[in-house]
Amino acid sequence: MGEKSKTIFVYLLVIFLAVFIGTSIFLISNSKKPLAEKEKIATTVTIPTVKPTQGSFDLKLFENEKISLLTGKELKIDLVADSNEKNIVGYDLVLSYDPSAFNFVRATSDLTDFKIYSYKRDSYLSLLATRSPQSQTSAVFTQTKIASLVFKPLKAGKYSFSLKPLIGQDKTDLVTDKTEVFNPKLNELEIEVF
Amino acid sequence: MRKELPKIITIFFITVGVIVWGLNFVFFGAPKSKATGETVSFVFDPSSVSQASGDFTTHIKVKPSIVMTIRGYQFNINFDKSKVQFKSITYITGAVSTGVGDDNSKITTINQNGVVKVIGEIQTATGLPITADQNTELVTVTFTAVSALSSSITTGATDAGLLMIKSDFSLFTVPSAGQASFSINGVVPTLTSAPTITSGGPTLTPTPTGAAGNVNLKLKLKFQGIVSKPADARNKLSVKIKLYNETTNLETAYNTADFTADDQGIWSGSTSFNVDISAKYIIYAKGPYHIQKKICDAAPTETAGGTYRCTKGNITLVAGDNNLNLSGVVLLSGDLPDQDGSITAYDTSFVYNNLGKTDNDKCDVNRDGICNTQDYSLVIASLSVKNDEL
Repeated sequence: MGEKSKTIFVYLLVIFLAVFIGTSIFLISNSKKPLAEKEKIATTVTIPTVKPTQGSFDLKLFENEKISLLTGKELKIDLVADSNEKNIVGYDLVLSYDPSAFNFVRATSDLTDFKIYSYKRDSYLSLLATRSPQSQTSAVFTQTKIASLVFKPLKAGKYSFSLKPLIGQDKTDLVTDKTEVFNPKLNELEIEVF
Repeated sequence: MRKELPKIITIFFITVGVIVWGLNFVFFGAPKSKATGETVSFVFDPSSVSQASGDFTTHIKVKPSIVMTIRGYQFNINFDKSKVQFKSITYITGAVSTGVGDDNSKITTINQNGVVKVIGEIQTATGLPITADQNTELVTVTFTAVSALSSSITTGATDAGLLMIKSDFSLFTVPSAGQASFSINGVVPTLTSAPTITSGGPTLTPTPTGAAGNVNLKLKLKFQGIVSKPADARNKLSVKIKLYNETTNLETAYNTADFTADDQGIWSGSTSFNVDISAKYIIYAKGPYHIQKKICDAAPTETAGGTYRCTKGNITLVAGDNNLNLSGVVLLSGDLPDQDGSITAYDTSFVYNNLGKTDNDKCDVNRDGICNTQDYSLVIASLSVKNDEL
């Protein structure tokens, strides 16, 4: 093999190596994940048209989930909130229930800095809570019991109390000290009256 | 050989670079912008109808500026509920975003608000490709005409758009190129000239503006918490006014009129409507920081601010000027911009978070130049009513 052929051979070797490395770089940078995993990513894309939730509102019963009409005892539901580490200055809440089976009695705030305004609608209860301007403390909810809702049962049966994101002009949300509004996760309760 | 080494290394790197660039070009096309220039055009098909009663159907279609794969779409269809009523909607592309988008179960709410909130989503993992050279139908909507008067249905306003899936699987909202109109009974009211758009940008459809009506309303109003004339810079409130006809049970669209105050804090402004003067009316007035007031009497009064209530319209109107002193009742504050028809925690919190500030006009309810506890107290006091009077 002459000197010239040797040089050509070296150049061809380099080019071949470069093609190999270039293709490898391309494939590695664009195909790090196998196809199945790519499809998985596509299927788990969140639809932003659905309002994302942050924090939570939970209805909780700390007493019996069965309530007797005969005792005339009122049903007390606790509202527990998580504000996702945000400092809250107000919140709205919509609670759907059967008004033919329960009479709304009162809603009281368990937080002294907050005042609750309640509105009894045809088929639901709407609440607005606002923090007092005199409040000096922050209000970060971490599974915090923030309010108590009291109902009087009217007839026997199984009933649902359900928090709703929106009914009519009323909505459920939390508002921060930066006036950010966010929608918490919501739950519902089953209650049996006998 | 040693002499050749720099040459070989140079060839090596150039070749690697060319190969990577070439493969990227072949497989992923030319470099793209971050989808910032793309728009989508909305159209009605058909775009007009002439009928005073009965049902009519139109298809809302879109055409993007580039070929794209979409995950969903979102837009409002606005209509004059006194002239047409919504009947049904069918999602042609994808399906309604359950619990968020309007469907046929929300007919009552839709007809109360005059707005269909269309939110649809493509439920396959890969989305739906749509082309830039033909229209893609999103929804079919049916309305019922209830008036021979002209009106329009519009969509594709600034809140409209498609959710495009980018190559990295992230989503990008492709905005509407401009508003599309559907003309009912032949006439779309006088059009203003199209706004000038910078080269290469979207072209906006002209916005209809109503012509002067047969009835001029010269109104006097009183707003909660304002007892004297505000400083000149703050002495203007844009108030939305509409009329409800007790005979036909139909209402007009809102007209917005500018009101200014006198020394006693009585606000005057005027607007006009094209209405039947043989009927009796309810006047609805909604201030920019206020919940809507329903007024049934030409000279209403109340013993305590905000307590006036009425059910049946008793206001008669004449052709030409109608001087109506409605300042005997107070328009309660609380529904701050951006208004949603209700005093919510957002409104109370907005004032709360801006207490003491002089640079935020949005919570200066009493127009004294500062957001303070007076404004907060006014909003709290209005919670006795909370929602727009309907």
